[in-house]
Amino acid sequence: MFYLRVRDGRIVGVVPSRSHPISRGRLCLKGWRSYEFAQHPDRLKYPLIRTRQGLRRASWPEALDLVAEKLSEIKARYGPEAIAVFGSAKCTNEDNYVLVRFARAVIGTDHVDHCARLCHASTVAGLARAFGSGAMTNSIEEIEDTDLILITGSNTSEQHPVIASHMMRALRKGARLVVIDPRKVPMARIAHLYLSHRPGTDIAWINGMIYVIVSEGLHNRRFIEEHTEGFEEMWQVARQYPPERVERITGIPREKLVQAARWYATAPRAMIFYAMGITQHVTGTHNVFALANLAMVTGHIGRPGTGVNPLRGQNNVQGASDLAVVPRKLPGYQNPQDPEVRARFKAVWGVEPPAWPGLASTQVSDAILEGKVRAIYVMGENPVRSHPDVHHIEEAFRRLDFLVVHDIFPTETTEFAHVIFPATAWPEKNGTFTNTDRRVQRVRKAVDPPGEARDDWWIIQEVARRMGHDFGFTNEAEIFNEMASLMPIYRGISYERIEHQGIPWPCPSPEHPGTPYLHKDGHFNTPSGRGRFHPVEHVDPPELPDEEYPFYLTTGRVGVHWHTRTMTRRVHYLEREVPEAFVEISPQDAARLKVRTGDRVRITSRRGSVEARALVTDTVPPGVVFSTFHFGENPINLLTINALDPIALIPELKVSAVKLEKVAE
Amino acid sequence: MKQLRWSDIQQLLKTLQAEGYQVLVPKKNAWGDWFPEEGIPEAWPEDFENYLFPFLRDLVLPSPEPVFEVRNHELCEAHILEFGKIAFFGARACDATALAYTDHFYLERAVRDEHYARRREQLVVITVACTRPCEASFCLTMEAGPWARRGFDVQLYPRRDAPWLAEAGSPIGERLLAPFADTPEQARDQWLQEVLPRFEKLDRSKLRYPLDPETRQYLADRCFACGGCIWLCPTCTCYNERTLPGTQTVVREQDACLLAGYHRMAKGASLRPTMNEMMGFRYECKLGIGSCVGCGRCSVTCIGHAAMEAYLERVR
Repeated sequence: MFYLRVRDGRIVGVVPSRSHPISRGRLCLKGWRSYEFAQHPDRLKYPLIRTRQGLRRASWPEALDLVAEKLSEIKARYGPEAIAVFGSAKCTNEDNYVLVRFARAVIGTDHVDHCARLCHASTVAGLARAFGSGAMTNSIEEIEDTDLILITGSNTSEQHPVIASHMMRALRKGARLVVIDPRKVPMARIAHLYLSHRPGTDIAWINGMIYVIVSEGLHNRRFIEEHTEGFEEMWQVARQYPPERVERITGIPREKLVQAARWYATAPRAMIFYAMGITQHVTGTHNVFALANLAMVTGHIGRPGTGVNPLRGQNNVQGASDLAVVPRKLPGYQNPQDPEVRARFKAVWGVEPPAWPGLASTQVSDAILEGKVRAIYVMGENPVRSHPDVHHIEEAFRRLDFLVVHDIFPTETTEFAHVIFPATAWPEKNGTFTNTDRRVQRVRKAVDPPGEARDDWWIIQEVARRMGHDFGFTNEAEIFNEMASLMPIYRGISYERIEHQGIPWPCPSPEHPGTPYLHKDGHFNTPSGRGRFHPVEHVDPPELPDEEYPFYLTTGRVGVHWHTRTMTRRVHYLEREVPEAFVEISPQDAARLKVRTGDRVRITSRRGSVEARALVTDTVPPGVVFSTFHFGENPINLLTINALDPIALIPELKVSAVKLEKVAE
Repeated sequence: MKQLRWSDIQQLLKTLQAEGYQVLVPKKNAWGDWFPEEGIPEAWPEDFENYLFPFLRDLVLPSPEPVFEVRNHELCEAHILEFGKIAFFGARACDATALAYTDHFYLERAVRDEHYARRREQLVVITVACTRPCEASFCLTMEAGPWARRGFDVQLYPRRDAPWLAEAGSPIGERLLAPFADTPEQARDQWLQEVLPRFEKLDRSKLRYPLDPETRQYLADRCFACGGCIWLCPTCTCYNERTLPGTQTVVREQDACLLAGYHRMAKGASLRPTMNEMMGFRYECKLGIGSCVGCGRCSVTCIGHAAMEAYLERVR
């Protein structure tokens, strides 16, 4: 948490809050500087309507009328399933709730999704089945007092620096750090043990650790017996992963695997942290199952300082997921098939939510090309750059009958929009965000928005009113109260209660203190009350390096940029740090290709080709190259493969095969 | 040496108010964070350690600050950003010492910075010496605390169940203290005798630049480049000049030497391409030049383990 310093109506800086239990006076560079983009002259200031001549400024009533008319027309002609709605993990819970109500009650569509599809869809699917709840099991405050930290597929110090700061405190108190990642990320450099595996072989090493733990008798028999189910079936699979075989699949030396397994199993308290390196795979959900298995085998769950902790990327991705900005759910992870749940929503919304299963955002492009989806309503996302296989999604968006986009800046997606609404940025918003550790906390408006920009929830409510549904919200607190009344996990939370300090859900009643860690004493939220083991087998990624495309390409982010850079490119110090696209190449490969840092390199996959500057570094092992999807000018997602995890529908953004060539300048 | 009861201190602040000063005092907000606020306190807030943000620095070196602007199609020097007459009550010794350092830097060298000077002239600093060390501080080692040797107009030494001691550090301070009762100088020695044992004093000759290569790499590996130590440092004065997007105003704003971009030159070449070198650069400034006042802010805000506290751990 931090305070904004405002001078003459302009933000001039931030002051971190020392009293906040998570921040404790610490911020990352984005936290220190990102207020700057909110005041950038490129901000969208007026509604825009596309004409044959291009975009033109419109009045609010004109733009709102047009959107309501077009959406009504498409709904009448093709049915509600012809319209998809994308929400945003940058917007408040209140914005997202109003969007969800608009989608499901006004339009009547279940094609509702947001970019968590691209980050933690596999977590939500995996942990919900294993434990009954798809979120961080433990709170950030507990990290300092744990005994072992296992980080995998997370560049924590760059992507979750404040969480890393709690890890650093734990290390000073004597905790051990184990990092398992194909890339030697900064945390790996200070780890007690670092294991580098081949991209896409997570299940193998996790099963291998379970093999070592169980065959050495280090598993927690009592916990397994009393609080879990399915251990035998899981073990029948995991027992086929002795360290020798794991070494062949993953490249992890067997002694190191054994060491990691022993340390993890014998630590009094051990926490697992993971992010996109686990989830963004065709086996994403299975990877998550495997980590849940590992925690349950050792009983490192349901106590302070333990658990399986997905690190969520955006300020409010937890909230957007909680609010069911995903298909096939209703707010609070409730089942839209359940008659009792449907009745409760009908009582408030006036209509029943759709019972049919909607599409994930990663399926929408195909649906457009098949003529099934005709219009999309996007609140604050840039799918045209963030989704895999850019050519494919651009072709789809070009075919849309109608595209509405709310944003704060022009983006690659607004280029396809028929109507663009200027929205507020976070320093201009009131509402709540739900932190990665489920802590629901307030955000307060510090400055006025530029031009005629309006709050996202206000815009949606105005469109809804024109489509015959008057929500009648006059402020954010009213929205919060309505959504909390419909969501048992938020029910006990109110603005009054979180005025000074956030509360982690579940918080079922006004007296309930909130829940810092889930599954206390091994009581899981699954139907049986037991944690569920899932047997999972290693399978090769859909595309492996071969003679023609000899390198693994793995993608991710850097600490100073945010996703498609629509915001961070407009912050001087952030953009200055990493001003252009780069590709990390190992010194061995660089020597072979005669490439030096700063040379231009062409990266080509079966789907496309982009250029970037070479960055020769031992962060990547030989045979692996790394790049980011931040740069719209060099869209790395031209290269990535549109292969989806069959359960979570998350794309395989972490493994594709590419070749490299030096480009003459 | 003078002695003042709390009502005398209030009187002193009222005198300043009457002279047109805005009196800023430490105030804890509803979230538990401290900010300087206008007013005259009923009592000294015993739980106040220091502001996390160096507000005193910000009053003389605000960032961003307009330095050039276009008026009538001509590039002109910008109007000096001023905050009016301010009496900063409850400043800590470390921050007053830092102010003396920036005074030297901006006022006493070859080029006098008129922007800084204008704001500095309007500032009255009343320090309250510390009676206990705050988190991660090592001010006694740096001779910048718990009492200030320089950088204040009036310095108060709080005492329990007795009037506070007061000394003047400038002609303004002398004028302000003139009405109050004298007390022998020994009273301060007694105060120091009581308070100093609570503060650690390291052998300063051990805090030396250049750092040994191993320590430098240790710190570099644990720096996650947030710039926090710099944004909060009361003596960090590096700045960058740029035109604010969408305006014709050139501002100077604080810059951070632990950011790669700070060291980068044309065509992407860098003077200090590795974190190891950047870390050496920062420590040269803090220990080599000796600007560090031991306030401990860098350690409180460090998301890694690369600030002074980490360095001192290795020195100890």
